This record gives sequence, structure tokens and C-alpha cells, in this order.
Amino acid sequence: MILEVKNVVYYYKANKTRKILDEVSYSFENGKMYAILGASGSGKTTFLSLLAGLDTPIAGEILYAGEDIRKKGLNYHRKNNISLVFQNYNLIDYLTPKENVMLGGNKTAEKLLETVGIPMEDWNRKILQLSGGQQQRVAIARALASSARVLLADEPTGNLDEEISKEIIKILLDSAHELGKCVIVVTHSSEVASAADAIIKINLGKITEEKTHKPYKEYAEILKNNDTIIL
Amino acid sequence: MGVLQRGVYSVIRKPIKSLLLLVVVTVISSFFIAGLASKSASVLVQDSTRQAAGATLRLEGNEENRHTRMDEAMKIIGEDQSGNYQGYYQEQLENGSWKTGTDNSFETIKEDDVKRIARVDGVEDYNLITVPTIVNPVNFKRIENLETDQSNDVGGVNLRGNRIMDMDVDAGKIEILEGRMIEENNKDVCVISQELAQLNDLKIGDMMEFNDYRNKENSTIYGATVIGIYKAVQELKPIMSGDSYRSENTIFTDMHFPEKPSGDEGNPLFQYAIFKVSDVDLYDQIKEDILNVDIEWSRYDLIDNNGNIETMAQNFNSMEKISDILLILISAVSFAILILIFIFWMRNRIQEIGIYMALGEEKRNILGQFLWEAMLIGLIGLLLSFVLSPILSEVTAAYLAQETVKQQEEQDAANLNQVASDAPEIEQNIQGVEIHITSLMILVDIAIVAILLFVSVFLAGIVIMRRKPKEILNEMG
Repeated sequence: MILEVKNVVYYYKANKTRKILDEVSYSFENGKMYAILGASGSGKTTFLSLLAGLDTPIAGEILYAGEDIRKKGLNYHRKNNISLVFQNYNLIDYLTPKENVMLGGNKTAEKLLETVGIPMEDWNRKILQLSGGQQQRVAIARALASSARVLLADEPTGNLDEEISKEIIKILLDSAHELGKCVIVVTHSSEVASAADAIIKINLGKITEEKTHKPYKEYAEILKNNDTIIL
Repeated sequence: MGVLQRGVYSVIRKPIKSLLLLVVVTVISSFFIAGLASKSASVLVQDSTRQAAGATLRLEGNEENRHTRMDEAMKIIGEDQSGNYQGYYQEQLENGSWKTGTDNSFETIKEDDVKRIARVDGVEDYNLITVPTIVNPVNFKRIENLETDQSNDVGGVNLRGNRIMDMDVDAGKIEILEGRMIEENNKDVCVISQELAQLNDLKIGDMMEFNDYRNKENSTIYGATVIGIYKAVQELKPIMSGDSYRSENTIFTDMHFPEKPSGDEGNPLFQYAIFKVSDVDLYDQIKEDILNVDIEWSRYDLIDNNGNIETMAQNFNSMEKISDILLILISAVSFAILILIFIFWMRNRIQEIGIYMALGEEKRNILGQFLWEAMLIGLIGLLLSFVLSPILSEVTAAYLAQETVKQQEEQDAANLNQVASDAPEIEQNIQGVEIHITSLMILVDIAIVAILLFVSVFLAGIVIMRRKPKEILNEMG
């Protein structure tokens, strides 16, 4: 277990009676991709924020490698233990794709950009001159540049078309299965969910886990053939 | 990628944002330097009423310095204390009220200073002229005009002592009808108007007697022998109303006579000194050499034959105050503008802040990047302001100097009907303003701009940095 959630309680201070997370516990492992599903407002992004150390639970604890993330500090946790991918890419607009990737960590930016499929001629362009799909690839490359063992993604395909989404899903899956990272994806997309090794559903403050029935290799093959995946 | 490198990229690649701050810093810095320079600007003033004649230079007391010395004396004697300090006195009267004043030693141009200036190469001769001194005519009658308002007049005549009468500022306005003018080392002599001579049937060699008008009955009577009779070819402008100061009642004497009947023997009150330049071609050089004589120049104004007075802005007391107010105002407005700019910056860059926070960047590093960017732009702005500020400083100093004169004129106009005076109106024109931007001013400017930037970034940053990363990211979403 790389990341563990123990008895986490979270509610908004303005509405204490409505618990977003009610004594939630869960363990995440390396080498797997998790999809977090739930209705809008169910607390998916809040859950991801807690895992990322962007916010703190009202009660309970979040452990990284068995240690409460607050012990070394949330900044430390965000910098060293996790990497983040957002729905709206969140790249720094005055930096080039290559420089954005370099923000993520010490790994070779060129190699990562190549891995995520950004052609060399785009590496030093203005970031806003790239398409949405390319920007999301750069964002993923930035996340992969980190040596963090957990990759958290919030609706990474939310703004992308179907084709690009499949490629992004493939990169995320590879990150889990090839690079051995723990990939946790908040999503509404059934495609993403079907590709995941485990699906976590959040409803009324509680979470439940479902195993997907599509083995990774089969899914990868489907992606390769650009077929539509049906859960 | 380090904070410094990111800062440089942000400044270069987002020029619009950088340009706004650049313009603001340049303007702020330029005005700061202008304000500092105006405080110590040399102001060349032309006073049309105070021109020296021909190739001469005129030395007279500096009014501002007079007030400064009075303030110092007041402090030294102490509040509610009676005493005298360097000619300034204050004493409590029996009814509890206070009387303050100055004696001749406080007001006079120092004879020693005049003699030192006179020793400068190129100064051919000099004259010392006393203040018009009202005394009581003992053995003669003065000229009176029944239609003149005498309500504020003390019923005297005025004595005007000269070392060399030919060099009196009004010497060109009179013509000697009989006898001669007063010369160096003459003692107890006088030159009177033909009207006064006719009224009293006075002739050359007659003795005229004077005493203190404040004690006509018991004060010592002093006599001066008439050595000349003059005719005024131009009216000698009186300095106050009443017949005491009228042209016909002006009696020229040797330079140490007026102090005697006025009760101040041995304590003269010289109003001007005139220095005659031997070679007109060397006028400017001699003027320069005179200004290099080691005397307390803050006490004096040296007026050239164009009526030009070189004086420091310190003497323009209100100008210095306006400069101070300007500096305070610039600081306050700059601070407010910079705070707003940086709040605007932070708000526009909320997404960037959120991204850096999400990447685990320390808040102090994010703030440090903004500060670094501000300092980079500030540095360019400072350099630009060093180019612009000399021009702006001159314009500002000239404006402040003109305003100072204008204020004085307005004050004079307001006093016009409240103070009885026939004194000639002083009309000062600013001929030029010389500003000196020193390295100290530049260092002060750099320090102030740096402090303003630092505090503004820090305060604007607090608003954003106190928020949780999630709140910022939610806003981004």
C-alpha cells in the first residue's frame, strides 16, 4: 500500500450536517489505476484534494507509505509524493512545453515529451499555441517528470475528444502498469472507468469498490484498434 | 527550474503586465528624485526692485535666515523665559504679556563680513548704507504736507548713513546743488534736500541737531554739519507713509551718524553693502570670488546688476515644505498604486499561484518570484527614471519655485489693505532653477522604491497566500 485513507471525515464548515466523506477508509496500491466515480457534488474532487494534500480532512488521516502526510507537511507531500493532472491542464502560460515539464521534476523533459507524443518542433512553442490534447499530454509529461509514486488526475479527459481521450487513458494506464505508479483518476467517463483496475464509487459520503472485468492487456489492445469500449 | 529563471521568463514573455509596472515605477522614481532634488535646488531669482547699479554687487540680509535665527534664539532662551541671545530678546512685561524683538546687532549686515568681501581682487570700493533711521529734528523743522495722513507718523526725519554717498543706491536720483557728497571717513556730517534747507534757511557749514524721537525731552542731542544740499531729480520712494520718510525729509549722513541720535551709538544697523567692480569684463569672475569668501552666506543675498539672486531652495522655506509634502504625497500615492497593481497581478495570476501550490512549491518561493519580478522591472524603471528625472526635476523645482513666489505675492496682496506701507512692492521673477542630483539622492530613491515594492508585494501577497490551495484551485476550476 502506497496511499491509505483512514476513517476520513470531511464536510464543509457552512453545512456541517452534510458529510461529504463519512469515515471513509481505503488503500491504494502501486501499479494500479483507480477510477473514482460519482455524481456531481458527491465529493470526488474533494476526495482527490485530500489525497493530494491540497486540503485536510476534518477527522481521520491520510497515510503515505504508512506515514501521516501532515507529518512532513502538505507541501512536501505535494512536491515529493504525488503528481497532479487537471481537467483544464493548468500549465504555466509563459513557459514552453519543455519548461512546463521541467517544473514537474528532474527527469529529462525531452524524453517525456516524446513519450507522450509531443513532436520536437512543439517543445519550445508557446504553450497556448498547442491544442487541448497536446496541452493535456504536456500536463501528463509534467506529472511523469516527478519521481512521485502516486499520480492523481482530475477529469483528465474532460475537455478532450474521444480519440485524444483514448490516448490519454493509454498514457495513464502505462504509467500505472509500466512505470508502477499508483494512478488515481477522478472521472465521469465510462471509458476511463472501464480501463481502470478498480472503480471507487462515492455516494452519500461513503465509498464502494468495484473491480473492472477488462484486463489491462485486453483494454490496451482495444485502444490500439480504436474500438469503443463498453463496460 | 528555479524561481529566478521563472521570474525572468515571466517578465520577458508577459510584457504587457511588466509594462504597466515599469511605467509606474519609472514615474514614481522620477518624481521621487524630482522631489528630493527640488529640496536642494539653486534658484536664480530676479528681483526687479533690488537691482544693484551698473558694475556693482549688492549684499543684503536674507529674510529667511533672519527667521531661522530668531527661531533658534527663541529655543535657546527657552519658552516663558526672559533673555537675550545674539540680539534677539524676549521679556515679560508687568501685565504678564511678552515683548519680543531684535536689536541692531541682530539685524545688521556685519561690517567685518563686508570688509572681507571688499578685500577680494577686483572689488574697487564698497559702500555701507544704513537702514532709514527716524530721529527727532531738534533745531529745525521738517517738511510737512497737511494732506498727508500722519496718524502713524512719529514726526521725525529719516537719516540715511553712507560710507561713500556717491555709491548710495539712490545716488543717481539726486543732484548736488551746493557743497559735496559724503566721503569715506567723514564724521558727523550731512547732506540735506534743498526744500529742507530753504524751509530752515540752512547753509553749508550749519549744524543740524537730532535726538531720539522716543524721548524728545531727555535724550542726548547729536549734531551733524551740513556739507551738501541736494535736489531730487527723481522721487526717493518712501518706505512707509507719513512725512518722516518723504523724499525732502531724507538726510544723508556719514555711516555711523544715524546710530547716535537713535540711541544706539556703537551699534549700527547697516541695510546694504554695495561693491564696485573694477573691471566690468571680470564681473562674473569677481562675483564668483566674492561667493567664495568664507563668511556665513546663509545670512545674506548677493544681488547682481541684473537683480539676480543665487540662493538655495532652503531659503524658499515654503518650497522646501512643498517638496516635503510632494514626497509624502508621492510615497502615499505610490504605495496605494503599487498595492493595487500587485493585487491586480496576484488576481490575474491566481491560476499560476494555484498551479505552483499544487506542484508543492512553497508559498514563500511563489511570493519570492513575484518580488524578484517586481525588482527586475523596478530596476529597469529606476534606470529609465535616472534618464528622465533631471528634466522632471528641473520642471518640478521651477514650478515649486514659481508657486512659492506666487504664494508670497498672494500673501502680499492679502496684506495690502491691512499693513500701512508705501514700501515698493517686491517683484521676484524666477530666472532659472539649477538642480543637482547627487548619488545620495539616487541611493535614497533606490531604497525607497525597493521598500515600496517589497512591502506592496508582501501585503498584496498576503491576501492570496493565506488561502488554501484547494480554494485557489476551485476558483481556477
